[in-house]
Amino acid sequence: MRKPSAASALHAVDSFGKDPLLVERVLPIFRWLYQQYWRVQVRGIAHVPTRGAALIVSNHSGALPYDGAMIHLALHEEHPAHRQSRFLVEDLVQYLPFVGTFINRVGGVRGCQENAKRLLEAGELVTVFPEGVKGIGKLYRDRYTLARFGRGGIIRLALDAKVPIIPCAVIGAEEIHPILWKAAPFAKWLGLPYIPITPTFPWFGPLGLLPLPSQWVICFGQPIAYEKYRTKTPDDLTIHQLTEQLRDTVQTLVNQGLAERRKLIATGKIQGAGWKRSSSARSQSREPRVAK
Amino acid sequence: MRTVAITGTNGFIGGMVLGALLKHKTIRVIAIDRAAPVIRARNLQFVACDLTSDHADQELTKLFHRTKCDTVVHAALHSQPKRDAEYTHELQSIGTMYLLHAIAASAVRKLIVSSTTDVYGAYPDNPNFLSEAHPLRGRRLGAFLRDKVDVEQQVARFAAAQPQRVVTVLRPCTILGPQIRNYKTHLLKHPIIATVLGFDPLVQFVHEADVARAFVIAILQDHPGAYNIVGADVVPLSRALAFMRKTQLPIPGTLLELTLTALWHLELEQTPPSHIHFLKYPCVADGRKAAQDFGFRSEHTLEETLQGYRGVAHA
Repeated sequence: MRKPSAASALHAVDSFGKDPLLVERVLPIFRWLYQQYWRVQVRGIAHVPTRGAALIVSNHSGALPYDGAMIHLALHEEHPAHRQSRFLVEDLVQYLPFVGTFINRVGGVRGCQENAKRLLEAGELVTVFPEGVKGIGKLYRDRYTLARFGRGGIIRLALDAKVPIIPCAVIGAEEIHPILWKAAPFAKWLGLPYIPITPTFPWFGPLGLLPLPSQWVICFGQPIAYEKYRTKTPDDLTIHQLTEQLRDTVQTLVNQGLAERRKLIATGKIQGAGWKRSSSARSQSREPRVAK
Repeated sequence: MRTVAITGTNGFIGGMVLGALLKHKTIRVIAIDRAAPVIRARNLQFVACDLTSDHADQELTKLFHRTKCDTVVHAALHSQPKRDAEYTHELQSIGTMYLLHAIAASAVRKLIVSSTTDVYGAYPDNPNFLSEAHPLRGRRLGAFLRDKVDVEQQVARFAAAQPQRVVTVLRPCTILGPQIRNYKTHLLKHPIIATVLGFDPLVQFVHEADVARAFVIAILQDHPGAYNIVGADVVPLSRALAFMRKTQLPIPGTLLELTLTALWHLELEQTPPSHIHFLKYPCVADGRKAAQDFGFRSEHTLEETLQGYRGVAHA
């Protein structure tokens, strides 16, 4: 790829810091993870509108935010409109050198009402993980049980920006870095909320940061429009109730996704995802994994 | 005939607004500073006044009565941190207080204050576009910004207590152009520029001519409130520096801070150590309110703004 001149590079990065050229460069790695390593199966993609803004609300897991990347790819590769999306990231990401800048350049935006509202006003699909650090840092024994869904900010945002919420469940991210225990010492010194202790990390050093190859399923649910709440902002109690309902919806979707994955593994049928896969014949003859 | 007083006409903003305003022959301009401006004009009158003196408020009150001044543009505020923090504090914080006393005691109808988007402060938890309603957190970043935030807070209290007067605060972002000289442009003069290793914040610039135009709009029309005056584009710092053909030298943050603190105290460097925050974290202001309510849009592209400075550096 020809290196862009300084003049054209000046405008290449968008107003939230995303660099399309960098995204193109790293996409092959993530595509490989999507297609070959985690063999992501997508259900319910038709629930995502072809046009216009929406808030995709998903469960969060996996110690590192690969689930965000996989949702982005699912929307881009599987949806007939090949929709672009943005994902919101925790504050702590912005404190980290290199990592913070990298995540911004591949499209992550600091999660706050102002940023999310501005993205939604521009018609973007915005993926948000209300469980936050609690979700991604879940211990393995608590897998697939949703943590608290924030403080009502998601519902307020959807009502304020007048966009629907599309519930989403990501199955498979819990197993890529099964967190057995969270170590607090040293973590604060590094500016991290905790250091995860997994079967591979820190025992195998940096190699232990390589994710495990679980089978992934991403399910999108029916959009929720909150029509009757748009004319008058509901009180905090109602907002909390709506938040709990949303969490229940996503939890149900997670359970459905788990059942779907069990079915897929039991029957050994990992379907092709819509593009021609050269290794699809190989994957179908692979030994079916036994689900735990 | 309208009478507009400008404080700080020997500073960059004051001088620029003076030059822009003198073109309007129906306006009588009064320049207030310690020394006379270099410009001479028929509609220009100079009054010597030191805003840090104990009698400044009384002198100004008499001046406003005598000249029937209806608008004051307050630009007697430093555009860069000085080592004499005490004097800077006296001028910015106390000087503003005296000016507000005088305005309250006179028939001045409008006050326009020159501020900066730096008052929001550069923090990792800033939204990508800071609106005017966002809390001003710059006070934690050194004495210079603490004074600037104090000025903003004094002006806000004054505006709330005096609803019959039109109080406008203009917050330009980093200003570049052929004439401006301050610690930020000084940093950009060197061919090799230190940046913080691992960080590349989004930054924004505005052309000095656009800033002058914004002040004239505020003088000629009534727009109460605070407005961010910014250029149209947001760009990573590294890209802006690459466009200006600078070589970037990434240095670990702690080392850079130690070096800058040492250079600052040895009086070898104009940039205060607190500026490192602006090299790490974003402080980008939202220009939408100025576009919608104030009628201001930048007339220079980002390339023109960066080249306007670069051109002079190579001259």
